[in-house]
Order: sequence, then structure tokens, then C-alpha cells
Amino acid sequence: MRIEGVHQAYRGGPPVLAGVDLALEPGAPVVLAGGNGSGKSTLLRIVAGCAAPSAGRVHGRPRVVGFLPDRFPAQLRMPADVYLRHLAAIRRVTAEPELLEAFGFSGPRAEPMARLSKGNAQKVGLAQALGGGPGLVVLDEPWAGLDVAAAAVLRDRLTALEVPLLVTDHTGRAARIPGARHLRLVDGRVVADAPPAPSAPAVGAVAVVLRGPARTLHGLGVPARVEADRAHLSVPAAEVDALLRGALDLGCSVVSVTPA
Amino acid sequence: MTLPAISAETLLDPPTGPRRRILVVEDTASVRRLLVDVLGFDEFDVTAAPDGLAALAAYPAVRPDLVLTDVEMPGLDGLGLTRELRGRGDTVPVVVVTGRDDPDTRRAAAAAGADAFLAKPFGLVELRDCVWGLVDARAH
Repeated sequence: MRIEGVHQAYRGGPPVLAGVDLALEPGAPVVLAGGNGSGKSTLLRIVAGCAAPSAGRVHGRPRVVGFLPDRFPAQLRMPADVYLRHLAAIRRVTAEPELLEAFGFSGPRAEPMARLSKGNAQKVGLAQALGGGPGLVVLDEPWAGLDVAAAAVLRDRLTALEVPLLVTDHTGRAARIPGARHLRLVDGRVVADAPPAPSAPAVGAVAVVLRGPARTLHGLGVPARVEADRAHLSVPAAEVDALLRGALDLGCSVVSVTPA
Repeated sequence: MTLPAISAETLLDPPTGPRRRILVVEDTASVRRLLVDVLGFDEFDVTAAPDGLAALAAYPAVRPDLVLTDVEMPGLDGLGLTRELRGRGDTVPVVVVTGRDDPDTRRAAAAAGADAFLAKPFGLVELRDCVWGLVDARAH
């Protein structure tokens, strides 16, 4: 699949995209970086077929595209199961609600999605995007709000994908997808980007204390001793960064991080 | 037209008062069922029709508070339906949804008498906010 000379501008303003060329192939996932407002989400919407470019072409887009937008409609009163069924019907594929279990979804399936936590809503979005055997997967910040366990499941699923993948990720987790090509949007164009530098190997265990709503603390995806609004955890040092990022995404605050 | 501000929080709770009626006109069955459910979970009474002629046939019994119609449909299309309603002096709010997001189609929708225009693919939250805005504006 190829993106050729894609431009996008809004109402006479400066171009958001100024001639983007990009090839997407199976086994060569593309991780797209860029600052706020750099046009990442715009490019993803165009690649997914949810927006038309001002100029340029997208060649070879498959019939079924798995797309996780940056703003997932989690405010709906429609329950998650019903939402997944409808989206699958419109895409003419079979819904895969079991993907919710794979990501450790712990919310109420029969209640409005608007009552879901941010993490559970993101899992519904991922189940929607990855279900039904898409021929192309386009994910905008898929790790946002995910707990540590779900983040690992997502990384494994994306690693095993046999179709083209385009993903944005500010958490650094996409760097762990083998074979990923790292690109960056600069001034509306795509340039090669260095992958995030791997941190020095960390050994031992770290004791972490987090503060947040009890429901969130119980949903972190790692064993924790929860007392009132605090969770006490012990995690391998190599995983502490991912845990802290996930906890902050979920709205927790970090009370302390000390060697165990 | 200025729509009243709506927050997701206020939309979480079912509205009080009589249920509002929506007539959904869409020829693609899967999209029609989705629209019926999205609005149904928002406590609207939703009736669906597969084209403009079927919508006109159902109209007297439904007496909708809002019409949500696709443009491209066999028989009577969404713009023809809107023109027919306006020709009868009916001021029911009409939301037009279409896969053609170009200035000509927008102008044609406005000229036919549509109150709002949503280009496919539209967001479900955007759709619902648009419908709520028009229904609330009419109620007040």
C-alpha cells in the first residue's frame, strides 16, 4: 500500500501535510512520531480512509481497515458489546468481543460505554480496530490509558500482525515491536527518525506506591496491595517505567519509587 | 445556527419529559440499524425507513421531532425528501448525512432546507450531539 504526495490544509491555513510519501508493507510496521499539531492524526485518518486529502493519493487500501482514532467515542450510552457488533456489521466482518477478554477488559458490558474507565474504553476501541481480520491496521496512540498487562498483550498482538501497521505512540512502547520503522512528521513531511534509545538494563525489584481511585488502582493489571487510595507494588526494575507511564495515563499519581 | 452547549455528563442521564421521535432514513441496512440503536440508547423513539418514499409514507404516523436522512438513496433521495417536507410547510429539523463532503453538496442540502449537514464518516458522538442540539433548540 502506498501514500503518494498527500497534502492537507484547512481553510486557507498553512498545510498540515505538505507532500507525504509512505509505503506500508506487512512485516514492516511504521511508528510515526511528531509533536502536537504536527499532523499525525490527520495523516492516520487519511490513510485509514476516514478523511480525504486536499491533494495526493492513497493506493491499495484494503477493504477492511482496523482504525483506532485519537478520540474514541467512549461517551456513548451504547454498551460495548452492542457497539462492537454494529461496527463489525458495517465493516461486513465478524465481531470479536472475545478480544475484550484478551485485553483484560473489566468494565460492565451491558452499561453505557460512557461509564467505562479510560483504560476499559481504550480496550473497546482496540477490540473494534483489531477484530474482524483487517487488511490494514492504523492505531492512534493505542497504549494511552492501558494497564501494564494490556500493554504487553497489545505489543504481542501487533508483533504477530501479518498486515501493514501504522501507529503513533508517545509512550515508547512501540519501539519494542520487532522490525519497526521509525518515522517523524516534520513540517508536514515524513522523515526518518531514530528509535527511542533503550534504557540501560535494569535489575532487581522496585517498590512503587501510587495514589488514585481504588477502582483504578485495582485495575492496574499487576498484583498490588491496595489500602484506601494507595496501592503498594513491587515490580521488576525493567518494567517500572512502563508501569509508571500506564499509571499516570490512568490518572494516578506517584507517591514514591524506591529500591525494594 | 448556534447549538446549545451539551456536555457528555448531562447526556449520561436519561432526559426527563416525553420521549422525542426521530425518523431515520437510510438505505444501507447495517448503518440504519446502528443509527437506530445509537439514538435508541439515548432514549429517543426511533422509526427507520429505507428511502425517501417510505419515509413520507411513515411520516404522518410518526410525527417526528427530527428527520435524519442519507442523501444517496433509490427512489426519492434525502434532498428530495427535504424539499418535499419544506414544500408542505413542515419545519421539522432535518439532518442530512452523506458520503459526499463537497461545497456543492453542502449548498444543495442548505438550498433544500436542511438544518445540519454531516459528512460520512461522521463520529457517533458528533451525530448524537447534533441531533440533541436541534431537538433541544426546537423544544425551547
